Amino acid sequence: MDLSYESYDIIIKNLEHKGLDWHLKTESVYKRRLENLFKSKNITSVDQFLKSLNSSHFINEVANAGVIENTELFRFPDTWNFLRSYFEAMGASHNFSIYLPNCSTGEDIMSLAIIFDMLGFENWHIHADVETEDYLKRAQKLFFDSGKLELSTHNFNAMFDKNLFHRYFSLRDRNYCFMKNIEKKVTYSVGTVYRKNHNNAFEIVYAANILTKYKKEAHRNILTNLYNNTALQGYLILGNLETISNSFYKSMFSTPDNNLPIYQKSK
Amino acid sequence: MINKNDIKAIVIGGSAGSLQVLNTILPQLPSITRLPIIITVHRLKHVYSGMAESLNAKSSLKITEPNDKQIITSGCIYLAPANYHMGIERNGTFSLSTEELVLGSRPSIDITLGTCAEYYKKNLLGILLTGANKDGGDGMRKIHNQGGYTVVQDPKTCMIDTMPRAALAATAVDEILSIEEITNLLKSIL
Repeated sequence: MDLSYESYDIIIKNLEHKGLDWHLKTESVYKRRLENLFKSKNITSVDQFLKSLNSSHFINEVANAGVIENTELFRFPDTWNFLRSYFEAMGASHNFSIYLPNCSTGEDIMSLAIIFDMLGFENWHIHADVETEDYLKRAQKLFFDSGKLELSTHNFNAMFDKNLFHRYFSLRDRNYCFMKNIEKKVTYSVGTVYRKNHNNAFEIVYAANILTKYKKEAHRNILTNLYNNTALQGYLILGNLETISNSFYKSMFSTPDNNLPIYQKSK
Repeated sequence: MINKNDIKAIVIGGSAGSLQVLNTILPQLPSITRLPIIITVHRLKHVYSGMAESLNAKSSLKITEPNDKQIITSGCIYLAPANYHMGIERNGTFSLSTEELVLGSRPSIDITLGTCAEYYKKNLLGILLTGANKDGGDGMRKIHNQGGYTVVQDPKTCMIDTMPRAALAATAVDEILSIEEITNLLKSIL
């Protein structure tokens, strides 16, 4: 079913009444996610959808349908190579603190864990925010134990010897499972990036492709939180085609390499 | 019959094989256009550069890959970047998304065509070129339903005709044209 924007607006308002706040999400993307949900649930009208919202189970399904899962190791290898060089330069005795907002499948956690393991570094910690309670519950299983991850090896092979892939992943039921020895290195909480301020300065904030999920109106708020969560001289990492367009925040970061979406907090 | 004055944007889709067709069409277009041209072509996920550069090398038009939330500007040619879906928001900005693959592709032609249809409605010309899967068929249906004008490359002239045939099966396409006829149509509109 093709949803009109008029119908989308009605649905978004109703979701908000049910505690699910999508009004700052990128509209065409989340309209599409609703259309996919309509299709998968055999929902044929907006009224039917709105009636279904009386069920908390259904609201949960809508929330989970909104999570964009993207399982891809080392997406944008140039950025990851920059991070690898930075970690290497800081050395094994340095304590690395890393924040990943809007985490879904955990591929970025795995990418970081692999780099640290390759370097032989032990002093690192990642805090990841997931969007829904279900994803929080799923986190341990999905990230490390589900056997359901489908990983592209292409980017891994671009960064490392391909023979090392099986040091980190084992094939089970035609899906890859990640090594299990990093669980103590990662903590999770539920949070939305435009609301969540950890009041904690992380050395690396890896926020690639988060701005794409939100309307431009939300970007200032998101950048405020990302800025607050980044330590002075720490790095904020965005996606390849995301930019800091807000002039205030632009002035608060410097760019070590103009070809990479990496911003160093300078003020 | 197309009302050329109604057209405010052109959207073109095709699979990787359509690059050759674009390399025939684009160099023949005027160097300054009055409309935006939005192109989504299936491309390798992990090869981030090269396609826009290759099209630019043969054309006097400037072809760019948009940033997320960039405003669409008349006279510019935009190419969907590798490994992102490219859509149009209702405020006339691009949105790039890392959502799941659609019919095995990211970027998806259906997403670009469908969101363009919603924004430009009857003021859109949609063109679907040669292609090896059904992506684009649903997008052409949306363009037609919104009152836009739809053109497919004549299947007889396609390297692989699955894509235009999917559009022909999905909706009442306005015209089936050869590459030369598509070029002439674009020249007359731009």
